Amino acid sequence: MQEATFLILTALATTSQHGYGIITDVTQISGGRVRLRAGTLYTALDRLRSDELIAVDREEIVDNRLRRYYRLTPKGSETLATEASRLQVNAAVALKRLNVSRPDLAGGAA
Amino acid sequence: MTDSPDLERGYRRLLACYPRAFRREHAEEVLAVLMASAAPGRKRPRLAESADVLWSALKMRLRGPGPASENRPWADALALFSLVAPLFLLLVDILNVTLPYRFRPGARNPFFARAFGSHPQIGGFPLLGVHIFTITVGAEVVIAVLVLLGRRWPRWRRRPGTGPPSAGRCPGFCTHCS
Repeated sequence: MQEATFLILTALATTSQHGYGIITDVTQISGGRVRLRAGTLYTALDRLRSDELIAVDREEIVDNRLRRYYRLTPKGSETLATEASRLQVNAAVALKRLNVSRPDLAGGAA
Repeated sequence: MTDSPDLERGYRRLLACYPRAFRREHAEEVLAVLMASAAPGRKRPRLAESADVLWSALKMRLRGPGPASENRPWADALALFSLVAPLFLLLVDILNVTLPYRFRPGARNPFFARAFGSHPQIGGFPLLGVHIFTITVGAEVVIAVLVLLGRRWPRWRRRPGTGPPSAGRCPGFCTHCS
């Protein structure tokens, strides 16, 4: 799973969000590292919808502009959970090994 | 966030590149995101943003029917090829027409000279009796025609619950979806 996809699913994990909300949330989650552009976002959203990982939640009109809110489907939650655990296991192994060789890099806690 | 009508017109022109079915369902929504992302006072779309929208539109046009995950790599490869190939052909033509002879792609390299017909004596590599230059231009015309035809190919896959109420889920190439 690409990082952008992972972050988009994460942005939708607690609540449904519209396009611009997802962009700002992804920027925040990634600490400003990942800034999605509109085209990239909608390519990803379209794929995620085709794969039935997300679905349209509702639509609103704000300042004459259409906002469509997306939410995770049960399949989406499951996929995100699997991916998150996989990353966590990998990260744990990496930190553990670093802790043996380079305790200064591993942050001490792992 | 901005409300410049010029900017909105610029974005709408970009959005026109998406497949019709996607446009019908998502154009207003994507426009809202583009307008919300734009810096105040902005009058024209930024280059990077335009490129991003065009790339996204190209990928969607080339994505075939079926679950997206199944044909993803091929769609991306095809999207890249269909972007790079005509640009390359066009570049070679432009170089051959505009540059003085010694700077042309074929001036120093016999392979290029034969392949692109810029050598004054050889005048192009005869393939089936046709000069490569002619083939190049012909290929550009064919690609251009294919792209234009592509606008009418209904490549968009309908999703349940969208579009005409009678259409539950159409096959990939049905005619009324695009």
